[in-house]
Amino acid sequence: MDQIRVLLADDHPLVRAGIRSTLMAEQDLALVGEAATGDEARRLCAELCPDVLLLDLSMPGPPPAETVAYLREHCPQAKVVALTAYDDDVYIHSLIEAGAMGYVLKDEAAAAVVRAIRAVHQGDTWFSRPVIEKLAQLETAKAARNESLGLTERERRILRLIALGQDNASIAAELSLAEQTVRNYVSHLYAKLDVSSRTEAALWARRHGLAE
Amino acid sequence: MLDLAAVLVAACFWSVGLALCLADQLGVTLVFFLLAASAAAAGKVSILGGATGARLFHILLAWLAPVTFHFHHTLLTRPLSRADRILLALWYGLAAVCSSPLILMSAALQQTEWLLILERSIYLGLAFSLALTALVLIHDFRHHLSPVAHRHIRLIAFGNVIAIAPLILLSLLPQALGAPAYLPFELTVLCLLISPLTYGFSFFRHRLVRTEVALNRMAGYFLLITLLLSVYLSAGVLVHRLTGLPESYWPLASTLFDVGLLLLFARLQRGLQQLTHWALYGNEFNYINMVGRVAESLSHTLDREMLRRLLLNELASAMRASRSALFLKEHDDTLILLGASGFERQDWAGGQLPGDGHLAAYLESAGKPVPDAHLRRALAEARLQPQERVLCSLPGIAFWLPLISSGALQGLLLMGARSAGDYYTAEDERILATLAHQSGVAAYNVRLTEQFRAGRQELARAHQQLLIGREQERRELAHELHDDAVQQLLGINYQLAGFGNVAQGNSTSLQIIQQEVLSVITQLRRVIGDLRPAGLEEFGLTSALKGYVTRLQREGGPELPVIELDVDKVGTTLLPSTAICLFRVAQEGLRNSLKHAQAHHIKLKLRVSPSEAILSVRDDGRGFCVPARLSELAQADHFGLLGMAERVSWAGGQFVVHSRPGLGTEITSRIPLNGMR
Repeated sequence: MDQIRVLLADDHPLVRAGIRSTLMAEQDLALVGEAATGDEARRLCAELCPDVLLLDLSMPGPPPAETVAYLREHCPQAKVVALTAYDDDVYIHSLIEAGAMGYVLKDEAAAAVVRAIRAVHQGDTWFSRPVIEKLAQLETAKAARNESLGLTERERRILRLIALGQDNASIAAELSLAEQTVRNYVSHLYAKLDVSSRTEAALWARRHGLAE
Repeated sequence: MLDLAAVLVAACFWSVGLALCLADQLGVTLVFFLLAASAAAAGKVSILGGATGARLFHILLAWLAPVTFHFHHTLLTRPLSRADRILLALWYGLAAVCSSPLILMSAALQQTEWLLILERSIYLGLAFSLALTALVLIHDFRHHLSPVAHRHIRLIAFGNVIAIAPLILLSLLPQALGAPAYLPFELTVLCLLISPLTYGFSFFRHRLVRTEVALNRMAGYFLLITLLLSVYLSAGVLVHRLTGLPESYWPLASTLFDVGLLLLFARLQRGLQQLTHWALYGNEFNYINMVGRVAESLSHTLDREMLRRLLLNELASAMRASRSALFLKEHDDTLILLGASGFERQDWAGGQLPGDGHLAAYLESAGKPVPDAHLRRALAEARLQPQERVLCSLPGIAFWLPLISSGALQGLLLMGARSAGDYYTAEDERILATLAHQSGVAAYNVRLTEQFRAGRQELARAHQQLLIGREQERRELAHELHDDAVQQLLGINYQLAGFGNVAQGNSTSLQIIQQEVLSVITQLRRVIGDLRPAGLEEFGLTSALKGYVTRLQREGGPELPVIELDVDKVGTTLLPSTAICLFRVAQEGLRNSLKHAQAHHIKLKLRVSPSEAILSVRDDGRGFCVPARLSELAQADHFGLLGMAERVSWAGGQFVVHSRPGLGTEITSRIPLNGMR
């Protein structure tokens, strides 16, 4: 069986040492390199083509989100697992947005790192429990607010047509409205649903059973 | 014989006029009165001999030409150049030459060709003068920048056109073309009255001449003319009776009188002026009002601009001083020029006066206004410093006023001499002494106030530095805790976990230690979270704001307002201090809207250009009445807005709150970036 080739990027020797010893103990994992700065992580990635990059978010050098974006462009096969001491929303969402597949909190046992590496290598995502809880809490809160939004009948119909993939012009024709009016409704809907694109609005409608 | 006398008289007038005009120290008025007196002397012939109206008219026209030009030339107080003086002197001489035959010759000249030529040349001279005057006014209009001067010239031009146009177009022109006048001369000549009215209006409207000064002067000159006329007439008759000289020698004798009187002129005029001054105002002028007003203003003068205005503009103009200057003492005891009017720029060598020199010491010991002559005499022997010498040699100063308070020289006021024919009385001097004393107190007050204000500003700056320093320190502390302490503890935690795998026996106590370490980490994380906004350094302002809003949305209940984000993408390129300022302002703005506004919708907007960052938080909540000064909010315990405003002002930006009850609230912060994104 092929080993999973792992690159470790963290500027703290103690942390690196701890994780190194954990990874060494696993048969299916191979630590191919260690980086102490963002720039070094980029260079080693390009050189070594690892399967998984364990990336600390508080390293000197370029901002971590940029490093992740850079890797997704230059060595797309490398999956990124963010490794950090922080679970603030800004960290979680910035990293997920940038394209990280896993997010491991450092105060979890080193075993969590191993599990995350295996998961992302298979193409899954892996998040530490507090992170999952936060993501779920956000979804629930948003959904609860959406429930209580109370869309009007016309807004429901427009949202349904959006979910069915129609553009503003055909919605206007179907509802006998001016296209500008439809456009106003749509932007109002975005604000109400707290979404920023047509696709998100369509997804929201599907999730709330409005598309049928 | 008669011809010779006329030429003699003309030559005499001409040479005296030329001499007067070329001499610098004699004013226009003196020249004017010499000529007027000469004209009067010559005129007595025609009065005694029963002159015809036409001849008198031509004589007047002959003089009108140079006087018109001269008057307009000096209208906007433009100094006469040497060339101007020569031109005017020649012109006045020419007028004398042209008019003296008319004055002197009686029947002999009548009906001759010479008379016609003379009259024509007088017309020509007048036309020439009018054209030249128009040119001068146009030149002044184009090169004089002050709007008042422009209005003045426009008014005069307009009035004169209105006055002269009917006469030329409706009466003179038709007659010249051989047709009868459209309007009789009686009517069109009346229009000429508009011209003097225009001058009067523009003078008093724009205060080119102070009414009281004009009145005073006019009265003085009226007395002078009457006196001169009577002297001439009686002297002429007396000479005739006593010597029995023929009539043709009278003008010659009169001219000799002229020259004699000229020597007494200045003194005579001064005396008469004093007389009229006494007669018109009882030497009071409106000093009581003026002194009261200036003194009252001085008593609450707390800044130097006001002091400058009071002493240099109001007092100097009330005192009719031609020039004035004000020095104030600075912290290093040097007297610095605060302002001056009527002086040339090059009069001041650096505008400083050493506070420890002979001049300052002399003025301080004098303790009252010192006439210029006294000062020069007193300091003639003293070894003055260069700057003092420059000051002492300044021309046209009447009084040196030391401004003294608490026994020390606080400043120095220079009062210029009055214009020709005007002078300071003993009463004036007493008033100046009183006002100088009050000005000393005011100057001292100004200094104290400035020191107080500077101290307060210093304090405010120190306070601001302290707060900025605290923010900086917090950031650094957070950075160190985050980068070193937490990471090392995490490393230790991993190591402990490694030991746990090996040392089976002690695993329980190891686990306890591990949990301790983790709880320390958690506490540290909380401290760090309080010290600085999460993710601001690693992800930049945009992501930090998004993250903060996400957190609000995650933690908020179903009733949380919709928060709309419209933020420009900025990475980590903003200065940390700017980024933290914008983040905190946005955070506080969102908190306020969530807590107080009862809003349904909140919009957070960030626009970043190379020159500035604009952040706004707008809600559709209940709004409030924005006080005129944000500091009033602090009194009502609303420190949030005040804190934001302070933060933004530290970053050199502007903070604006727009709100009305029922109409929502919008706060906007603009922070300059100077291209440092």
